[in-house]
Amino acid sequence: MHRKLLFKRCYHTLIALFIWMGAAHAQVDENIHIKTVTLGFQQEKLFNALLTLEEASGFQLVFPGEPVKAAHLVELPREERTVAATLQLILRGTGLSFKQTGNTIVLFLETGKNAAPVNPQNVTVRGTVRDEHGEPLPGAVVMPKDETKINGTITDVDGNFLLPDVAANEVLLFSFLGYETREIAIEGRTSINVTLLPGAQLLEEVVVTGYQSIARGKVTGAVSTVNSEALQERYTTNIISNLEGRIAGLVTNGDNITIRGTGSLHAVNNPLIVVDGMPIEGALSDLNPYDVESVTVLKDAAATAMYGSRASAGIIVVTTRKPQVAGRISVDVQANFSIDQKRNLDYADNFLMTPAQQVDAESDYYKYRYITEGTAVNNRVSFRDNTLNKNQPFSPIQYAYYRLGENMTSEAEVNTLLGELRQNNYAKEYGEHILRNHLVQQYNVAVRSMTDKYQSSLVFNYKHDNSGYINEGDNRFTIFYKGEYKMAKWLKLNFGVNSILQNSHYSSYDGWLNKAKDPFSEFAYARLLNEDGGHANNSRFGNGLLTIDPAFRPSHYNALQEMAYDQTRYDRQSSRYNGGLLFYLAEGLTAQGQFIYESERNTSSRFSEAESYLMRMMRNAYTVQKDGSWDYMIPETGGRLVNDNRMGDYWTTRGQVNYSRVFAQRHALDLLAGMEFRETRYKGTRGLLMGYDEQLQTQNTANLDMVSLRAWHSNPYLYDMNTVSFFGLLESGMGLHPEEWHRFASGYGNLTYTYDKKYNLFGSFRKDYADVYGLNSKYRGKPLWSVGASWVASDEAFMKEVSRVDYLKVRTSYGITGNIVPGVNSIMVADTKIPVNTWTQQPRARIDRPANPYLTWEKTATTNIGLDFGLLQARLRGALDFYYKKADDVYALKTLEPTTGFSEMWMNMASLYNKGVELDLTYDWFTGRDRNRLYWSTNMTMAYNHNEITHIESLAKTAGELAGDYQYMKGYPTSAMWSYRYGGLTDEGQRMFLDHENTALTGNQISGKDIEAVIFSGQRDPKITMGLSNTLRYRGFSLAVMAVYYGNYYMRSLQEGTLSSPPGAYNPGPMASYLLDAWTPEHTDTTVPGIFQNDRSSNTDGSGAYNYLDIYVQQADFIKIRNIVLGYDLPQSWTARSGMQQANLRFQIDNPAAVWTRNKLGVDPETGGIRRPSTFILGLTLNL
Amino acid sequence: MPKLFALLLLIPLVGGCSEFTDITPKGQSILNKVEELELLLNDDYMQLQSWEPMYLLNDNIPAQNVIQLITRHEEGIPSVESVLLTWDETVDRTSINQDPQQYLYGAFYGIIGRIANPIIANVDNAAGNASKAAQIKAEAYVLRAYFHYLAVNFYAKAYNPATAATDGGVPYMFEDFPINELAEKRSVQEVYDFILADLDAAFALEALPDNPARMRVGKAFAHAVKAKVLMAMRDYNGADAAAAASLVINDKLLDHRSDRLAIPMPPFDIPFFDRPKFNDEELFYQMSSFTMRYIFSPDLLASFDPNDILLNHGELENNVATYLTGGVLMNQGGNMTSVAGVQAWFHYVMAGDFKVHYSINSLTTVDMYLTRAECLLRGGEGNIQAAMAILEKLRVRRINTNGYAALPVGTKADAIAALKQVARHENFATSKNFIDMKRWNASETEWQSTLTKTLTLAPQGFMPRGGNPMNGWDPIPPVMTRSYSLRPDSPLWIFPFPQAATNYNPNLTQNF
Repeated sequence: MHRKLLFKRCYHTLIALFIWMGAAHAQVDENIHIKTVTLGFQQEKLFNALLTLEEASGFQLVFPGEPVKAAHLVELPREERTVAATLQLILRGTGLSFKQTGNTIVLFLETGKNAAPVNPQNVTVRGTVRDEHGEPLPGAVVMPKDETKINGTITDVDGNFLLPDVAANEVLLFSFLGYETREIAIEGRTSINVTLLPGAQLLEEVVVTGYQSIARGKVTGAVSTVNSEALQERYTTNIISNLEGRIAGLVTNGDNITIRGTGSLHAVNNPLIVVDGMPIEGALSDLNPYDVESVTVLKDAAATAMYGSRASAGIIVVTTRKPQVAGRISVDVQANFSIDQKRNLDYADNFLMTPAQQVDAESDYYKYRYITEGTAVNNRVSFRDNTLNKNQPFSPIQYAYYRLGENMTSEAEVNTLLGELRQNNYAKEYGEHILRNHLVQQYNVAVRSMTDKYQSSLVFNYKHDNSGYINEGDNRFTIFYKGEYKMAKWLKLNFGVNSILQNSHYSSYDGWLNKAKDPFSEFAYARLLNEDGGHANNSRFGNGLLTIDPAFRPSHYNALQEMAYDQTRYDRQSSRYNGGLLFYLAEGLTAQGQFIYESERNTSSRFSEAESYLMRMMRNAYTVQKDGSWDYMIPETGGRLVNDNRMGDYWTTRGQVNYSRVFAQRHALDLLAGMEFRETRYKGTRGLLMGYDEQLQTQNTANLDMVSLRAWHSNPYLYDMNTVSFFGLLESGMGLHPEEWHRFASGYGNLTYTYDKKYNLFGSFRKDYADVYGLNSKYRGKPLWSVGASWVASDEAFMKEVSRVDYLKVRTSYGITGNIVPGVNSIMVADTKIPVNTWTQQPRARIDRPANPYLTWEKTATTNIGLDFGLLQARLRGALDFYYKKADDVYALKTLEPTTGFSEMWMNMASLYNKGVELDLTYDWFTGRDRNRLYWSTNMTMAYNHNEITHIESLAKTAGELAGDYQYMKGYPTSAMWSYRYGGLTDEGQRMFLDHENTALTGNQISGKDIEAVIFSGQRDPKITMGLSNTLRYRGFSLAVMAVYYGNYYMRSLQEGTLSSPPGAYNPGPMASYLLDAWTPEHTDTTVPGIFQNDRSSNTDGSGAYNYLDIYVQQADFIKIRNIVLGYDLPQSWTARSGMQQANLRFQIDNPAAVWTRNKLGVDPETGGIRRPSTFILGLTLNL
Repeated sequence: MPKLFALLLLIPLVGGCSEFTDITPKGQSILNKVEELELLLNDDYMQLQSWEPMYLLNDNIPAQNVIQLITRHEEGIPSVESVLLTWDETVDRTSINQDPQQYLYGAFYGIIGRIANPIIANVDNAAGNASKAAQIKAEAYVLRAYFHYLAVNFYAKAYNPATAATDGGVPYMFEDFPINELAEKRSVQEVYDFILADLDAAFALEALPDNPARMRVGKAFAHAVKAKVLMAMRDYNGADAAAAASLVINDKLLDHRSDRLAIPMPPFDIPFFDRPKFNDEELFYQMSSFTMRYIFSPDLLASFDPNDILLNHGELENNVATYLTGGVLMNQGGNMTSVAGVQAWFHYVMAGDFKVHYSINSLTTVDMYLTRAECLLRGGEGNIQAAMAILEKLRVRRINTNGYAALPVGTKADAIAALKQVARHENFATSKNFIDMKRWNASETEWQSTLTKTLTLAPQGFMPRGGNPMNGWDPIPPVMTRSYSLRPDSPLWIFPFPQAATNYNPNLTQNF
């Protein structure tokens, strides 16, 4: 055996070893003093004997090249011994010792032996290799740089090495996988201590798919990983926002997350979330951002086919942190304080008229209406009879001009009033009295420990959010425990509990009676507080001029009061329990059972006190006259309490067998097969208490007569009050959240075969079953499969010549995944969850769609071709992927002729595809890992997605049905926007729309035209997304900047509506500032149609047809800096004094004002209006 | 041994995937239990508005800017509303967008396809109480018959014994219709035969209740449907017998004189009349009244007795001017402001919302009294007295006591005119006026009538008389005057099949 070859082999073994160490999360580090093998040798060469032992024991042997004597022969009777004993006997007389490190046995020269230099000019060098924390690094490779010299060695368990017989002028290479290789010249020294720093992380990664952990080298699919270091770089309350810009192809759009575009029209398009190997139902926002070790996103079929039907939209695999260092208790403490920039309530900045502008616009109108218009007298009479005398509300300006017209006041008095109103600013007052600085505090303490048998992590997290409004607050406490226990040499147990307790209280908002949380829900010139500090009256019912009967409650409304009188409390308990058993059945063969149970309990209670506006108005609505006296149809006193309880129970159980072996050194096989069962249940109830008094604990709900209340249609006695909506407040308080109950089952298997660590073949098969009720049993189970192949080209001998290429892997995959739309049936069913017949209060059922016995699963076929690469000593590294995702049998609604009784039916009849390119590129400009050297790394992700529907029966038959967003048409993207063409304003300021023959029509008319009258105006989903993050570190300081670009997409914004009259006191509010530019006979150069007396459009614009005019379509492209993080790591010399390992301070700005938008309107494409306020975050991290 | 234990643990996992997932999700019924099928019958029938017949007969006018509507129409841009308003026969109604009022065809067949037929198809194999099963099956048959009766009256010619066998009707949808096939159009005669067969099937089950739950079909309604069907087919003896059978079960009439007059409360001085929901007159509360305001035409108003309680106390606003120009309607209604374009139609008043509740497409005991009255008159001159007595039975309950005077008993023609007048206001703003007038117009020339109207239209508003508001107000002078007429055999009496149907089903050729 040539020494050089042998050494090379060891080196590779070493690399494989650490890949395997990671890969073998599922496997257990067994004890060589317990595990037994049955071996015997007859005059076997030492090397072969060791190989045999390696194969038989399942341990990886790592041994230095030089001292393994090829000539040494081993003689050993065959019998069962412990691995340690066997090894001891094999190594007898070789001078080698061994030590177990995890799943590895390191062989090393016993220090002091064989120390005599062979060549007198040569020296013996000894020393220790340590990591950046000063911990010894066992198994680090020490070898001469001169490749003709072959006498390298590796460090022992204490990180010590001894290298005899090296030239005094030799340069030594110190390397350890995952660490930067260092070159150190001996320069005659005999003792060299080396610290290695973590290096490029391309090679060592292990990909956690949830079902298995597999070396990245073996992966054939498109997989992106963000590790803990990157995740910890910034603080986000939600782990998903931390992934933005870091994973090419993952697009977050508000709460909506898509991976590689929209793949289905009606099925779930959100990715599946897997935590520590099991899929969860819980929200991503519940994941503790401090406790995430890594996030892996599986994008193509080879990666996702294992997950079955829920995987068509991709998978996000989250791995929580584990203890890192054996034998030590580590305590991590983190604290973050984030404070929002105060909300910008400036009317002009929010595209609204300022108070003065609104006063002017409104007074112009009422002056015309009550003074100058030909029918002014009649208008005033109408106001008197129908508004004043019927106690209907009005605006102060309206009333002033009415009085002026009736000569009840003077022009001077009116002008004084207007002058006063111009000085008011409701939103500003609102900001002063109702808003406060939005402050979020989050604290996290993690205690972790690890011994040979036991690993445990205990994490506490507390978050307080003051919501930014007075009288509000949100508290969330999370406790998480995760443990792993090696019960026996053949059994490992893991278990975890995650429990969230949350309670919050906030002001109710119903958008009708209570709009207290909306600063733009009153006239801009209104007041929140009167001059004397009292609460201003902004009632929507009643004008206060009528002396009403004391039977009725006052109609005073003030947002500040409602913030206190109408509150909602929210309580939540959410728990997740998971456990698993792992059995070692035989060599390389394990079996495991896993179980996860999630339980979610939510209660929200809206209590509208008797003094709340809602209760007062509701009481008035149900105050009726009976035999000449007043009668109350709802309790005369007390408030309304609506409790809403929801509970979710979800479990998944999985049984799986793994087999993993290397045969004859070159053939590696990873095989797994298993079954999975899953059930989800979600349900809830709502309960109403009327006449509720919190103090006295009384209520009077049983007196309600729902049928009579429903029949009481309007109350003429007070304000002509329509009571339908009030009845809704009663009816909606009772009822249930219909139970959603689903079951899924599947059987699966997959196989990875690796030859020579270079060539990988992958195949997976899964059959999914779901409770698609009545789905033809022939179709109920859906076979899903995938195949993949990859080639690590850089390991080929010929590639070694290409010195710039350190790593190059080519991979490809193809697979079929399935999808279903929940609630779709192939037999006729009636929906019984619908509310009762409101008139009779009888339960009922409705058949919504006819049966289609031919329903089957949606089929998504994904092809992926990818390239992973590392160049220039892996300073430049990344991945490039091309994909083509074709979905057939996509669920769509087919139009039915109405004579059938139905209008549409589910059919597997649409097809669509997504294709795209994804690039993930990292370049290290400066690689300094140690504190005093500059480190600068840039990561860029880019994704391009093209989405197109290739077949569908369009449901839109008229222009009106097509105009809008997300209307599906063949040949267009799923997020297509369809618009009318702007036809200018007529001589009367009336807005017109152009059809395809350039005929100018009103909105009412064009909506009935053929679909040709509508044009395509781009897609709403970005076609290109990019993320750019830069990280710099120097002398403990760090700076990280993340910027994103969303491009090639469109939005609608600032559609210019028209107004026939100013906002009335029934529904007050500011006016849009574009109305200042409205058409008048004198001002015709505008796109805003005439308003008020010039309004010719509101009756002819159709139901909002103007919203879909092409002139309001803007390019939505933007570049934003998401956050800038400035950090400082305290020097170890300081921290050590206080017993800390590490201390880090961080200052972060989220959403800084640095924004570039393609549109010139100043509209933020993400909000459709003003940009989000910046957030300033102060963070502290301590490792004890 | 321990490893064996390990394997044992995993064994329970190896089960049947197909069986595990074979569950009935909550909140759904697979229509195999009688009680669950019955839930289908508790529908609220909310979708059944009947705008087209109301527009055609001027029981209502379109809630749009009418001046503009007519101007556009004359410029060659007609709409469903403008055709019905102008009675313009020259417009190709099949090509204009029918969207706004297309619910009705789908609603009629929706009740047939989603309620009646699934019950008829499944009830025989459903588990449960046998008498309940018979009852809901009978209800389903009656619903299927009645909504086909409405459909054939809307979308085909009125029944004419001479031509019914060849006149195009509508599809008749049975419970075993395959969803992927095209429905076939039947002749009017066939449709009526199927309707009678369904009614017979319902009666044969002998399971319909005398006192059905609210909004459900009972025996009185079944007889009433039969009476109307036979009336359409000019089987007057049969119709009379059926109406009589219905009245045996329920002959109640609301008495507007005493029942529902409330004492006015300040600040109002009008005592409100309250015609309640679910009143005893309604044989099948097929649609619940909801917030709606109707603008009545002069001829409808004229059909009311001047002392009619509904007219005077039903919270009908007789000062429509304030609605048209004032704030209330603008704030509550939205699109009604556009009615302000109509100015000469000041006589139109509003009703419907508030307390006057009635079903738009249902049948009442009043219809049975009117049926009996007509059958008497059809029977011969000798029955005029008896027929008038029936009409007076209705009238006396509708008119303020001190204003009531019985109509003089005259000729048969007088009596029929009186009958038509009473029916007109009793059935205001319903499809029944339309169906009756179409029936009268069908082929009996002596009862046919041509409708006429003159619209005088002006921009909204008033002006002070002589420039001085103390003198009162005058409407702004009219800018447009139009006269229209509707002949008895106009194709407008037949509504077009909706494009949603004809686009997909070539069998559905129009019947006009």
